Amino acid sequence: MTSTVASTNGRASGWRGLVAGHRPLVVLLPLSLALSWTIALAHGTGAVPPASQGLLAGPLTAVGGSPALGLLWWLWLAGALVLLESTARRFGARDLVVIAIGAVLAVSPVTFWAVGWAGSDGPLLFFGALAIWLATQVADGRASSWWLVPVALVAGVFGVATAAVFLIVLIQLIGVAVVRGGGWRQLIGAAVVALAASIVLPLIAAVAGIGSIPGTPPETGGQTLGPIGAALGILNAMVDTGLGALSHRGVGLAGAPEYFYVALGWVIVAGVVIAFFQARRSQAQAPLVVAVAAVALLTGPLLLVLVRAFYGEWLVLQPLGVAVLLPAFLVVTSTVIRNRGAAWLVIAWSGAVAVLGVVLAIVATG
Amino acid sequence: MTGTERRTFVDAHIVASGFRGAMARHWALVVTLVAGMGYMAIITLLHSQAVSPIDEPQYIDYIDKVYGQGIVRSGEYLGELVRGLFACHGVIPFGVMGAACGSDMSDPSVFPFGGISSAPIYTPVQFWIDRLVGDAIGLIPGIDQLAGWRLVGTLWLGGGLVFCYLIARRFRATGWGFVAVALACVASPFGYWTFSFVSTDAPIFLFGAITLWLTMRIARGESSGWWLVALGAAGALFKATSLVAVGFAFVYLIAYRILQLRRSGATAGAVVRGVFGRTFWLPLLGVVANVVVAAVWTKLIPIFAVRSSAVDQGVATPPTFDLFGQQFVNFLGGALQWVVPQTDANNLFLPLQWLAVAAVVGAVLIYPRGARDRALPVSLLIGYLIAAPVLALSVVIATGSFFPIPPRYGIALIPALIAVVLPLMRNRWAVRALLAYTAVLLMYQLGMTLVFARWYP
Repeated sequence: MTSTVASTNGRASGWRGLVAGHRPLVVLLPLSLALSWTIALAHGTGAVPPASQGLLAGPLTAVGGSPALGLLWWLWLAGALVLLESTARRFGARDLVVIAIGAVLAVSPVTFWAVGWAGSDGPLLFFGALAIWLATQVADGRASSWWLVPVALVAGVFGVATAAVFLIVLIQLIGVAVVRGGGWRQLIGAAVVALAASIVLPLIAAVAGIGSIPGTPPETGGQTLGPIGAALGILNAMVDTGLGALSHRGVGLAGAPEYFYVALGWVIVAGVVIAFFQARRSQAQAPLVVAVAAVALLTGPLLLVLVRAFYGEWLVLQPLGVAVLLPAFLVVTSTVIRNRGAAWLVIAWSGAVAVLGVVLAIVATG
Repeated sequence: MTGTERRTFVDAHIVASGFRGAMARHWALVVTLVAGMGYMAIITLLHSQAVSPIDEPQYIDYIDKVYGQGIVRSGEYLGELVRGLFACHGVIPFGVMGAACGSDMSDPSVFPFGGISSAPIYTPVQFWIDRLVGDAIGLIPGIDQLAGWRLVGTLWLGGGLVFCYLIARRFRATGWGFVAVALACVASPFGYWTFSFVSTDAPIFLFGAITLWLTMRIARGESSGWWLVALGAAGALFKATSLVAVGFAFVYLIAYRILQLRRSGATAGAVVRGVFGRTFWLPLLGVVANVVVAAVWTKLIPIFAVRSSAVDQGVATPPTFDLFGQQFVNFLGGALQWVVPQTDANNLFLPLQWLAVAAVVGAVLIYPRGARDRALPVSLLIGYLIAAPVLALSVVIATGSFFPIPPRYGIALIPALIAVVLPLMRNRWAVRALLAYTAVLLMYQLGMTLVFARWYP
């Protein structure tokens, strides 16, 4: 790999320095803007926006089809890309690799729905990236761990699925403390409080009977799981809701060639699994890698149990409700792309999927 | 150095000679064979007489008839043995079929596909082997004839694992990593349905492993490329899907040669010229030999036929762009976890797909320039992407219609999949996690076997 890490030599001041220091963003932000806006504008007003979750589900569903908001929602993706670049670089990703994982984020089926409409998935992408970035800053001693708490509280507005990324943060910081052999109270205390904070607003929403959850809600009489089926439900949730949800699914539109998205999802599967296979205690990313691997399986059961506790019913989870995890999966993926040709391959395939996304937005939802 | 790493294939420091020394040096193979083959043999013996839905009755019929007639001819009716299996024991998970058990079974038309055998598309080679070896196994007290034939699958598995081990020894891999991945394959639905019943995919696993082992030797100048020509021809005598193995060998050798030339600083022109040597033409000849033998057999089928009625299994469909496109993700998407029958617990196998994808795609992502064998992951990814479309295209060309290629037709690539994932497994906790997951799958498959035996006695 011969790409340079631009930040190390981007000493020029002013906008030139900024551009030199963030070359991946110079590529990703305008391209993602063009893609997101094209998709947002291509969506027809008659199409049904995807279901939102969390305390603001009602208002978001009401205004979700607004083209103006759809255009603004790119800002969540832009924020996620900025944070993704910073976090990936912390773990040694080169410019080309950052562009590759950024491209996957920009064209993924989650993003197709998240920024084309004003729903809860756009904010979830951003807060997923923010949580991982902040936890990494905390681990490096550059930020107080207590910043995690207000971020978790605010992120909880967009649904109980937020808890999944703060579970990653908790396990990551436990790992950091184990490797360091100290700092338990400061690192883990704040992470535990943050995890609790992330479910405060979903709990209030459940008690007050407002908002929505990432599953078939009980009040609609949807499919619910009885206690006997709970074990099977947990098994299905383990593989369907975490890694499975973000890697095996396409946009879900009738007639769409989903195999395009399947191949894109393979990059995420390979990233998460191989990063875990390669994890060593001495690696800076090891705590995050282990945390992501664990939560990739634990997300479904965690959400099932939380929703069961809040609403009193076992629900069938919406697989794509875990957009919040996608940035974490991609940061981990960036640590295993060490082959320049492979990075180009990922970028090229993302380009093909981007074209497909535009076509689908025009043909299938327009 | 971790505890896991200490037990690597590089156990050359074990200098003890003789049987005990060999056992100590090759402990990973011994553990895998004892656990894998032992488990598969037990599962096989626990099966009832109910048959696998993957055409097992067709194969049993062929095996039953080889002594009497040598080959089964196109248009021939299934024999009494298989009609009895259909009627009295059934097909998992569909149950009994055809005439009522104990009634007159002389009317073949009441059995699936009009009672006509679909097996004549195969040469008799595998069925002769299954019959001869299976009958010998059946001489062991307590093993009935059908169980004996089915137990040959355990031998195909064992042979394949031995060659997988020989391939894996070329890579920097841990012994426990090999045990974990190999047993995960054994515990997978692919392993269960292929090796515990009579299956024509089973020898292709061994064939794929032998072909890859030999191909790696050819690439390094340790064996003659002519072996691939012989293997290509021999593979077609078992099943047309052996084309995947020799086709993959061809792609691998080209990739190996290109990377070798580039590493030596050759110019682009020199690389192009250098590729077209013996490592190009002989593997290509192997592919041609495979296709020619398969084509000749296809031409012979109607000559041997007793009637012209072809068996329609109801899977043919008009080719469409979308169906063809799906084939690109078919083999890798379903390599290890394609499942029959559908049950509520099928998601249990989904992590096997993650393992397969992580192996093939991850190896390409992570293998940096200068890695020991970059040709294998690169060619394996190409193989997994194009093998199913190539087979689908050949079906369209041959028949004019399309049928969805089952992921099991990519079985010849599994040995390479095992080989590429092993060097990536550096974390002993990952190996332990895979072993624990594999243990769960082994228990689940054992439980399913008991359930099947009870439901379909």
